[in-house]
Amino acid sequence: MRAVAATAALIAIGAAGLSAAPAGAAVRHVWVAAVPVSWNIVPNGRDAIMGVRHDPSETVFGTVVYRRYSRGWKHPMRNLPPGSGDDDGMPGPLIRARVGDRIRVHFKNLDTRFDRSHSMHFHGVRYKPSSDGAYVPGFSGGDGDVKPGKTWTYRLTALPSSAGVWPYHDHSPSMHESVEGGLWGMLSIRGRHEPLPDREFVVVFAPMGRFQSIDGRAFVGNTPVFTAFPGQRVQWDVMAMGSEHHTFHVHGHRWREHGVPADTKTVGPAESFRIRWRERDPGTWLYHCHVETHMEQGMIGIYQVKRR
Amino acid sequence: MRCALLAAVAVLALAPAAASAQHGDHGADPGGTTVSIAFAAFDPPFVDVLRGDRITWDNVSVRQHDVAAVDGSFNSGPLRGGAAFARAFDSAGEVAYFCTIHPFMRGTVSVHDLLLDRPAEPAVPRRPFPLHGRTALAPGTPIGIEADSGTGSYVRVASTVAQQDGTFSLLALPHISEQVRAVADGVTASPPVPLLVLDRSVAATARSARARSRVSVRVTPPGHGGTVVLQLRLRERFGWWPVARARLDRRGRARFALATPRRVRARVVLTLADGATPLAVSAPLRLGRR
Repeated sequence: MRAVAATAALIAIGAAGLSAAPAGAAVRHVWVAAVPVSWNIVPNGRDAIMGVRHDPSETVFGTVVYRRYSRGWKHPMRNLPPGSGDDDGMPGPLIRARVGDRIRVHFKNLDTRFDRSHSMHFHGVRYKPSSDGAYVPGFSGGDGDVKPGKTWTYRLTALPSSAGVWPYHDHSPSMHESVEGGLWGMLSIRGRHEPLPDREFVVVFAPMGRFQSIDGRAFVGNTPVFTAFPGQRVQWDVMAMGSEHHTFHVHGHRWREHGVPADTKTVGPAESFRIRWRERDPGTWLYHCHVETHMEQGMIGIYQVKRR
Repeated sequence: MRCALLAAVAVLALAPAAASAQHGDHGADPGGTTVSIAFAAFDPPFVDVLRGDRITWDNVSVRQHDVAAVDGSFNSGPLRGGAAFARAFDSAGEVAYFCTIHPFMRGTVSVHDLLLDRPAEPAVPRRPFPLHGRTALAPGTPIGIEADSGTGSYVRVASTVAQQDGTFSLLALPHISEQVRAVADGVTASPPVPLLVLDRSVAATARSARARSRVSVRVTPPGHGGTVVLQLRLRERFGWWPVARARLDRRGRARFALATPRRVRARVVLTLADGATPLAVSAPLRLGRR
């Protein structure tokens, strides 16, 4: 396949002082809660490629994830647009905005399982220290240490330098175990004149126990099954959490990195990028981390391009 | 309902590398216990805790109380309504306490080096059932699991080791109900917990029309509040894939409704509350148009 377009998200920062909202900019309100769930890393119970079975006693654990809610945290809602991944809690809500928008993330800590503080810390957007969401003893306020049952509103602005995709994650005193347990998600910021893609696939590489996961799941069939039709504009949002580097690879497709064709791209802890192309190759394809041991431990999935 | 008699438990496999254990304390519940101080009683009056655990006494009544150890090792001082007192227990053994203002109010804290979690749901005969516990002993300490065969004495049926986060777990393969406990060093034992075993079955029927299907489920015996999961056999998921979860009503019934634009095989699985550990499985169904 010939790649049509590709865009790296890590754009040089050069417009940090631009804060005036341009005409047509919106204020986007997002309601999010940290909620306890019972999570199964391998719901179908097997590594189908290697023919190995995994019992729930190895793959099920209790954890806390971000869940999108309706206004006032009244009703749980979908985290992801249809087709962007399995909507079970990892990753957290895909927060979409456009350059110039102001984003208000209303966060509530509903962690009744572990009774721990949580927070939300966002990469790639502009905010004041009171919306940093990071716990620094003696310096930070309630933004970095939201106690169970309490709330905080994070006030963010998408600058021109924010165009791309970015991680967000817990940065409270419980950050270590919470990030390990899946308390993370992605921001997707479009340029002022960029259209929405027809399909937006969210891929988060993260270790999970003795598995290597994509969106908290391991092995084909358990990781998200992404689908598209020929002719659609598809966008892959890729990031990594944890302490390891990964190499994102999609079979049968290429894109351009700084004008050079590529089919594999490295992503390290808390790094992120987006890749776009117009789809034209029907078939069932693999996507995976090409670090061999990570692939063997579950960091692999399938992408189906179906004829209409 | 058929409830079997006491008998030995067979252990299928140990699971020291369980995901929950590997997630450190993210998979372990915090070791805290709360005792309510009511108008004229401690609730619950008897508690089992792990060495190092903290107990909070919360005065939920309208009158003043206190919490004083019989051996004089602690005294909360006066606690007005709404006040609380907390204390960690660092030595194994029993500590009796009372309210000096109302001396008929008495309670006991039993501090252990091993605690086996009481199973929240019944097991099913000859199906793997997870047992979990906590220990104050060092990581790597051998821990045995014993079952009372009905003779009044415990028999060793399995062994595992303490994990880094102070938890331990294993899979049991029970045949009938019994009492089980954890032991270490041949002498240190947890309080026994009952492992109830019920012979349960899942019956499911389906009706499909206009690309939608309804699945009706009946579990026998009922098990009010139990979890059932609808699974579809999907090629792109490489096996059975959970698509919906429901709770059983008092009659052991549940219903699912879903879109079925194409013909697909389905089944219903009775699981533990985690929605994953299977207890009983229905016969396969066909959903969608022929």
